[in-house]
Amino acid sequence: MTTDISSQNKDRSQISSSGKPPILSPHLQVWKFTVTMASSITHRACGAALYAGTAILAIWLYATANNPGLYNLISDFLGSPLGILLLAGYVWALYFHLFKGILHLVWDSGRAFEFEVAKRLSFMIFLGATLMMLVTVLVGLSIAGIL
Amino acid sequence: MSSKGTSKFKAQRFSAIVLIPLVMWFLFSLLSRVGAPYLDMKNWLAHPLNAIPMALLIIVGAFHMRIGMSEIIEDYIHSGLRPVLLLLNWVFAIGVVLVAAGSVITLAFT
Repeated sequence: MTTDISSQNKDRSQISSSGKPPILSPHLQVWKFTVTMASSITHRACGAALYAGTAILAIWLYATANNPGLYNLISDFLGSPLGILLLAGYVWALYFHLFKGILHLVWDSGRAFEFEVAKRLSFMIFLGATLMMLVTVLVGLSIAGIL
Repeated sequence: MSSKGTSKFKAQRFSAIVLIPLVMWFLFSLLSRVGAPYLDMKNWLAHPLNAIPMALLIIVGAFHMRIGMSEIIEDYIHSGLRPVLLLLNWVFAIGVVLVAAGSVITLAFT
């Protein structure tokens, strides 16, 4: 583990302007499982998933503005079981990243760092994202007339 | 010293704060018209009150996600692939802004 991190630091030092290796966060393999570390990894994974989802959003906006044929094609796909699953995942990631992002802003202000508080809040973010995703998808499906 | 890392940190937090209301607006407004027929959706998007927040969401979102992805690349990629991926990350973010925000703005203001 130590060799792994020190080799990362050596690598970082090559791009550091100050000559000092910048601080790296430990790789996810070295952590013991806790809800706070799970929420941290999930936050990054959701960010990456939303990154990919943005490509679909961009194509969808392009189609809405310029191309009815493409719009209908995307609408049909998003209304299919696979499309609904994809949308549900995207919505979950959006809520999770939103809630965890707000917690990060609170942490940046120096608050809510006590381990029990951090643990409880991290757990609530998983729960909150799941509940809000379910509400959103159910409301969305009923508006679309699928439910 | 380390001013680049600090400004990146601030830029990521600032864009996050701007994105909070935009993401909430996005979820609620799209939710209320899922599966709408093409012309309804187009007319909705063409209205400046919808086009402006949508374009802002795309622009600020692309800014935020480019920083986030560059941090992922810098954390996990230590080979010669890193500069290539960092460049592709820029290309992707600019592409998203041109295609998405470009479409929305031309629709609403031309």
